[in-house]
Amino acid sequence: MGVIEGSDFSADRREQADVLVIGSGAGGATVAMRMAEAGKRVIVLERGGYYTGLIDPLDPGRPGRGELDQREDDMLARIDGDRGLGTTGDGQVALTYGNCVGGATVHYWADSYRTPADRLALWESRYGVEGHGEDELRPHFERIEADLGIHPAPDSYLNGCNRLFKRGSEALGWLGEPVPQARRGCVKSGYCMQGCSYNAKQSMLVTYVPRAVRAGALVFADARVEKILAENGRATGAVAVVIDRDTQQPTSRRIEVRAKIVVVAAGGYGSAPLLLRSGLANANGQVGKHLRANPCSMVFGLFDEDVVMWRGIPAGYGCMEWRLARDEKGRYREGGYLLMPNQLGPGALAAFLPGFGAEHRRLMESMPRLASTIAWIDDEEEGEITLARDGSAEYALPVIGRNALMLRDSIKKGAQVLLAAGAREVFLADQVGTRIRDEKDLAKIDSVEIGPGAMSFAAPHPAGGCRMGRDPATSVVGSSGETHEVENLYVADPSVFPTAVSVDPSETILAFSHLLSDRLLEKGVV
Amino acid sequence: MNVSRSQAKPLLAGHPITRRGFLARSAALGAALGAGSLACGTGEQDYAALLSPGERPKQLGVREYVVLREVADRLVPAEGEKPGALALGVPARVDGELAFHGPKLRDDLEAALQLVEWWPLLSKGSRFSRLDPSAQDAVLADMASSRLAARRTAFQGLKFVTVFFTYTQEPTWPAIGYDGPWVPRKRPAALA
Repeated sequence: MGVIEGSDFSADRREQADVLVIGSGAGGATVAMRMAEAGKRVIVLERGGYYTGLIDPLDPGRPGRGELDQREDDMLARIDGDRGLGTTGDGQVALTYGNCVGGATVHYWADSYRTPADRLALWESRYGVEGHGEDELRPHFERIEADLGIHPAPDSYLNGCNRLFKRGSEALGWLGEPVPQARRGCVKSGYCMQGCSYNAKQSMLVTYVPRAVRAGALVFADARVEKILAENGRATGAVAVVIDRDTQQPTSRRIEVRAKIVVVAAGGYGSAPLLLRSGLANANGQVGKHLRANPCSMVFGLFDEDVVMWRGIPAGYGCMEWRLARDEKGRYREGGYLLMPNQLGPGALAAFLPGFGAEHRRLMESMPRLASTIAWIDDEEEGEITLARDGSAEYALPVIGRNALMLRDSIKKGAQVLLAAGAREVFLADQVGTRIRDEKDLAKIDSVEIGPGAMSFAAPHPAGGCRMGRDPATSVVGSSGETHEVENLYVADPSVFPTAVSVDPSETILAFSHLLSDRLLEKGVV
Repeated sequence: MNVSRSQAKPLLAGHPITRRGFLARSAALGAALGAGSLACGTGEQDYAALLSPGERPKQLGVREYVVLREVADRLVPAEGEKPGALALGVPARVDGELAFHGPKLRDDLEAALQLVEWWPLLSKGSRFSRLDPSAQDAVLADMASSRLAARRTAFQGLKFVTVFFTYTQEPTWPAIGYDGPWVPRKRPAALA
């Protein structure tokens, strides 16, 4: 049957399934594929649209529709939640997430790390996450790496920005390594963030979703779930409204799905609001709590030579030196983030570069000679997802405490790398346009204002919100992935992670969903 | 490094602003400052007179739309042959974008624009849209570095939508050395 889009039918639909999956990103597509390949009747409800590039993902012998057209404006509108304009309540942190078939993997950078052993150990010892250790996850990592062609980025992947970053990082003696990449036949166009036009980036759109469809799964695009249905403490299905693709407004058409189990995989920013709106699994008040999101800082360096950071892959060489925060005498000292080369198109670059008017134009005109770093901080201070009166989600990720310290330190380290790589001048992404010309200037960063409106951050890796744990009083789902309160209701996305992963979370999300699928099948739940 | 220096400086110390809080306070400020608007003779018709024939916003109020035009023209002014935000139709693009979103974004944008328009009454005795370009630049620079988070946030939001929807347009690319996409454009997503 394939992917059914909102424009494909005109009347309400009622469907029956063994497994209903809400969301088609890394978490949902994995469960959908595994269940469908095991012979289960699977229905996927995806809020966003179905967009293809030059090749049809479902039939690679046919051309695609060309909707992945590499324009930042068009693609943010098509594949990003809130058309790329969503922020936290204070406007400081841009919420970056997927809203399309394939979810956030359509815009991710394809960085693919196994979950660090220290993070799995933390989740087990502090939060009571059981059965998700290295040994349990290893076969799933191996399977994922084979499925998605994950491999360390060779030197041929490194664009000008990556080469400068590597040079700077090595000059400083910082630990670095090739970033594992989920790509096949990459043409290095530089439009990963806009959705790969060539089906080379191994997103769910071109891998697990087509496999799920080939195995019989029915994927409804443009289907926004309004409410999860439950009776007598058991999940029984969901009701979705069909969204008009062109206007993004809800239509009068509904899809009601009844299923033996319901798997919520609406993403780290979507699953908690859905549970809150459904009034489910939240008697302990934990849904929406413990939000983390890897807010990231950016720093820019002006070089004498052309860099052309918009071509090639975003991050082929990463600095692992600062992954874990370092304390001294009980106080934060440094680190707590992955430091990477950055990649931005002109629209996003313009938004993050300082100043306005002629000054801003001069910076934009130096775009070919700009390199940039990005640092995903391993945030420790927790945010929260709540519902406004109209039922829409609101997000708080205050830049305070250790988060603020990590962000500030990451800005300093980003500036150091760029200077060490030979930058003539370094610009911070603050509105007042702080400039760093040499090591002595780095001290300016200690007093730069980074509060709301002074500096922007993006947060692409949500975690928490439906935290996994042993204690039903402090978590939403148990280690089985099933909610403590509602039978047959599972969560399979990063919102179950007790903390951020400390590396790109995609492979962890995939592995958790494979593990969940194994256990559902082993136990004969469906 | 001192944690307190790293924390947000909200409008009301000790109470981090939320979107609602930002709106409420911005709107209150705008309303208070705008109370002088009647005395200044600033009815909607005065703003509408500044628009081209047939040019009307679809989402924003006329006053807010006029202020958005003024702000966009200062954030990305034309320079010789290089088009600015106005020539590229950025205010209409921003206004049209609001149709795809819930009321929150429109409310936020309107609050930000009211703050821009009325705050200069305090410092310059005139609303923003009546100031000359250099005075408008000074107001925007003051907002960008303000100690008040609400003013900075208003500036940041307006700058984001203006520069993003400017530099995603092809006519700006030659001047910045960007050689553009490798595939043809599909129907622009801006079209509802």
